Amino acid sequence: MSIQIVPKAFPVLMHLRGEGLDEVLASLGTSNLDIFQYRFVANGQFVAKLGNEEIFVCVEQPLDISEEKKQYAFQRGDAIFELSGDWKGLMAEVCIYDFRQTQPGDFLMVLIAGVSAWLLIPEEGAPLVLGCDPTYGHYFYETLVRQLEVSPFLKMECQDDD
Amino acid sequence: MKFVTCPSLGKRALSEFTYGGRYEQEPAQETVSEKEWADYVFYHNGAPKVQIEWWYHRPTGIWFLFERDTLTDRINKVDFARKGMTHEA
Amino acid sequence: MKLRLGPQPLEWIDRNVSVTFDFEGKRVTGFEGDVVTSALWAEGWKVLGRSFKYHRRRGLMSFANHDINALFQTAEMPNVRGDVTPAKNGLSLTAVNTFGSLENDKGALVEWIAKFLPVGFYYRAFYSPKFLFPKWERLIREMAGLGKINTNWSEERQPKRYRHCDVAIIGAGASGMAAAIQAAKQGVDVCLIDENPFIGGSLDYQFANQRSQSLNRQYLKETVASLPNIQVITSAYVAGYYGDHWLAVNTDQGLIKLSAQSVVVATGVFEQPAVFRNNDLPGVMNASAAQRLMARYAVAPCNAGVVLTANHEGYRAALDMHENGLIVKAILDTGKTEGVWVDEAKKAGIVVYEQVTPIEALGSREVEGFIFGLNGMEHRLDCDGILMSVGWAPAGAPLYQAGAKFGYEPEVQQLIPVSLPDGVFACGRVNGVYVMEDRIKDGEQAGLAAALHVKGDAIPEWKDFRDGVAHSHPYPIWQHPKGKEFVDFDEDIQVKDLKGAIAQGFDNIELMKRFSTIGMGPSQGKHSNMNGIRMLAKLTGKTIDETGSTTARPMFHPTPVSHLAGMRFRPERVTPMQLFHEEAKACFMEAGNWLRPEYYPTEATREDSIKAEVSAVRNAVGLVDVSTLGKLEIFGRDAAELMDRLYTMRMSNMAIGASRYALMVDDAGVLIDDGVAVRFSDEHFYVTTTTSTSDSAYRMIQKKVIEWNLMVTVLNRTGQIGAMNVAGPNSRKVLSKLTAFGLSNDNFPYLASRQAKLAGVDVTMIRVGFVGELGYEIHVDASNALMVWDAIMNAGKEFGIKPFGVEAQRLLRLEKGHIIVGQDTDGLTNPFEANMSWAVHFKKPYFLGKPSLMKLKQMQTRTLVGFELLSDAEKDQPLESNLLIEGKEMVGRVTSIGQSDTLKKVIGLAMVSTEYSAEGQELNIKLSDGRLVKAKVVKTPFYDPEGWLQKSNEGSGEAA
Repeated sequence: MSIQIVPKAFPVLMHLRGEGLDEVLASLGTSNLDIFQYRFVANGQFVAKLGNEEIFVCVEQPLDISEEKKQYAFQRGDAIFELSGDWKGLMAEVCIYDFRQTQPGDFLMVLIAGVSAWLLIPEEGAPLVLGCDPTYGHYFYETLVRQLEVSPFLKMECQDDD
Repeated sequence: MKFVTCPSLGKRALSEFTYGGRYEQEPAQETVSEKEWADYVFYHNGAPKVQIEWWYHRPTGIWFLFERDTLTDRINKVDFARKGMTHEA
Repeated sequence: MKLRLGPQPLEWIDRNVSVTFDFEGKRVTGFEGDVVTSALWAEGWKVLGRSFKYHRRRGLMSFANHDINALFQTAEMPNVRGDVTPAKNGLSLTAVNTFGSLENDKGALVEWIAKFLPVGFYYRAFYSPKFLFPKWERLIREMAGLGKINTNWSEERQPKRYRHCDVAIIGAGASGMAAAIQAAKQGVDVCLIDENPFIGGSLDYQFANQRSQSLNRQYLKETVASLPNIQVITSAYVAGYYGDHWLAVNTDQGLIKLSAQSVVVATGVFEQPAVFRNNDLPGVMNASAAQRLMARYAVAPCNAGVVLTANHEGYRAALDMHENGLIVKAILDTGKTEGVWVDEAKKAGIVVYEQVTPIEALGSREVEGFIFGLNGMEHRLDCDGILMSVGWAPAGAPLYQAGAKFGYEPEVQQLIPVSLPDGVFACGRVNGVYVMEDRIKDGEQAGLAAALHVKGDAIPEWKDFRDGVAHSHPYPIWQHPKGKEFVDFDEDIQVKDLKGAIAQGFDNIELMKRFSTIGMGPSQGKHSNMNGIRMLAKLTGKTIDETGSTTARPMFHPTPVSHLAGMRFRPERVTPMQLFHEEAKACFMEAGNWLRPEYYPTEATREDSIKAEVSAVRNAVGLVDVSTLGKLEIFGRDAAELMDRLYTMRMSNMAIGASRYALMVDDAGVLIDDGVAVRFSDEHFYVTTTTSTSDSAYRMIQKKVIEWNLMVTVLNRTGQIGAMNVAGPNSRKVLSKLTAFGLSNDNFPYLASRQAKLAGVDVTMIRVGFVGELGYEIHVDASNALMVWDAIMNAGKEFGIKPFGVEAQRLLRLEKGHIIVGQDTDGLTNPFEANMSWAVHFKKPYFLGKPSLMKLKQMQTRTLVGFELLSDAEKDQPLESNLLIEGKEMVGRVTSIGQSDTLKKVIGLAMVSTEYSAEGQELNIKLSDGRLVKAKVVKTPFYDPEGWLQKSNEGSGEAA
């Protein structure tokens, strides 16, 4: 099962901090999210809960928030990629995390190749979406691609599938 | 490489954390004596003991407090560092 | 193929595929599945190498990579270990450590002068005079080296891989397989690791011809294969055990860093050679080596051999030879062994002599005979092979590394683990359990215990499955008056060498090891340490427990450096304007983990390019990318309180829309960061940090928010925001083209910050001095940053805009006397030393480091000053860190220096003793070559000291 990595563009990424964000979650239909969980809301848009006063959203619809309500919104331009195929095989070489503990729907924040990254843990067989700070984007992409090219482990696994 | 099991994060490698020093109450600046202040800033007793330490999880930006035995390097307890908490330092 | 046998029941070779390679220039043909050693031996190559010190002929000995008799080399690679390296088409191998050839090695002459080379000789003979040692060392290395390194190497890095499991089992022999099955049945994830290409362990060579074991074999192998939660990793050895159950597993593909919750060590034992005269002659080998040769590769150890044994395993080896139609001249039992195999051997008609004393092996090139003592008489048997089966040592490396303690168990005459660390278990022969059925039971109990440990359940009482029979000779060492009884084959160490070491007082195990070098060769004592310990114990009259054993440290086998190195993960950040910089062919430099343009090569030389950039800023307009600055949003009810507490200046009285220099010290009052703070609203601030501290400052501020229990949120937006600084007399004109926002001094005065639309997008602008000209720092979402940058470059064309890099920026800022935290300050510098007492507001009730600063203010001993060079700058420009000298005393050092074209001077900053800091003071700077040059303390800023240019631009007559 070969691994493919493609850069992915997300239209509006917002980091929300402040009070009363549960209402925002509810307005997006994701009120039952636990911390470090995400939910896809519509064609590739998602909502993730990072804490009681912190959410991370990728939605096109306008959000009703304001500084008066002690709510703060910050635009983000994360570098985002989609990994299809045996993404866990690639992760095993760049990330120390034990993926046996994750479930589909987990929003995982973890160190990958020395860079803090976030991952939307997918359903079995579905591609993995992951992102990082935009200024690390090129390093992140090049590192993952180089690893795919040179890794004898990954080559061997591809052959096993043939 | 040690693993630490943290609330909300699960089992994480210590390489994802940055050490933030011992948990210690800063003496009140208005009333502190010179000696007390110097002890706080400079003089740390390195004898092995169980102590509470600040550890920062970089990917999530969360501060944790670990209770660690510096003799055995065993981490006995892990908790979020919360505002307004009180600990025996 | 002289020694190839007929088909064996479990052989690893594929007789349909032949393999051809070269050895010492001669062609060798074997089968697919052969290793180098087996292919050579099958063709009758019995001399495989030369020994390290005496260049004696050496043949196959452990055939398990526990000795280095079979050590080869290709053109590219030394250290090719024949016992485990697959025979491949096209290989071209030579022996190592020979002068001339393997057959005709001139180095063998060393043996004739061997008596002049006692153990420890090199140390004592060449240690003094010391200046001669390098010469001797070169000669010794030439004589004694093992292989040649290819010096035309290129960097190779093998990826590493992480792997996680619940129970890791090292060794897939009978007990390891049984442990894996039992653990897996408990529902945990199991990794079963073996250094051989196939699982099975000794079940497949020692018991290969034992029909009664086929059911056990079938059950174990088929069950392992059928359980989905057992992952088998073969052709992989555990190079080391590390804390918290981490195993470094070396494979051909690279290193696997395997993390487990529990580890079962089922590594078995290393067979130990008998120590008698000429025990190193080609043809003398361990019995298990002979069994591996026959069972795996269908190669005979010899045609007519004797078996020297002290245990019943030797009888099994004799039976294997016998059943393969080879001649067993006799079994020479050093005692009177009992057991099933003894009975079988006798029944098969093999001659057995008991209570035998080995005396010497005979032969010039290879074994031709064996002399032994029996009933006080010497006897001789002609033979072409001698199999040694006198005992075992635990393959305990992972256990030692995990912190297990070993003790000597006289019942089995073996070291066994007597205390194990939490979560580590041992089973099978490494645990002293030898009977096959017991090994399986021992494995099952270890596997179950490991799984229960993972689950946190209680572990049932541990059962001892040892059979109470000695499988090792307590002292398999028979000294001969003429010597040449080898204890360590790697290092050519004989009995008299160890006796000599002990006699000279090196009678502690660690001392003896280091002095004699026993166990220090490439096989790290696998075949020699146990005999060394037995000798030391006997000669010092101690027990083996009192003598102790040395720790087997990682790596278990030599591991390629490329595997240890792994890939290099060195995160590198680029700003949103990287595309522009690349297209402008900027020369980049590293700033922390960022890449920043050092300068843009617009002129012929670096210096001229930088000069042109400086000149553009001073005379027209320049644009610099400062996206690398740390950028933090601070918001919430207590935002102002936090700002007051973090920085030395008062921040809570800042007006909305104002900016202020922000200086931070630590608890000790040491200057750690500076930046600019902006107030967006009552409860919302925005601050910058220096490039290198963005992560640490953010981390520290988050921590302080918790400690101080403040209602405030801090967000690190460093990578999410691009920032640039437009500076120069024309900067206002450039920006005016891009915004409808009024940029006049009244509407947007010096040190104000404004949020406005620029080039159609929302930006924050801050009027900072930065390089000492009219200037605007623009902060904008990263996704729009490049667009804004390009818009400014385009708008600035008619005003002579130039992008400028770090070098120009530093020089421009130096002209203004601005410090760089971390360059002009060191790990002890406080704000008073940096002339920044104006930035410390003691009237605040609290701020970080205040008590320290109150003390430090009274005890200032050094001061950062500006200086200009008085001597000829072309020839004598000092460097940063050059010292300031007064008489014979060092009174300071240069922290920054640069040639200012604007001022036509060399200017700099220096940290000096306060007594030399007065304006006009002459300073002596000691150049790197030792000469002194003169400089003079001058006032800073060097350029536009009143700051007219940055404040209002009135200095250049421009209307606001």
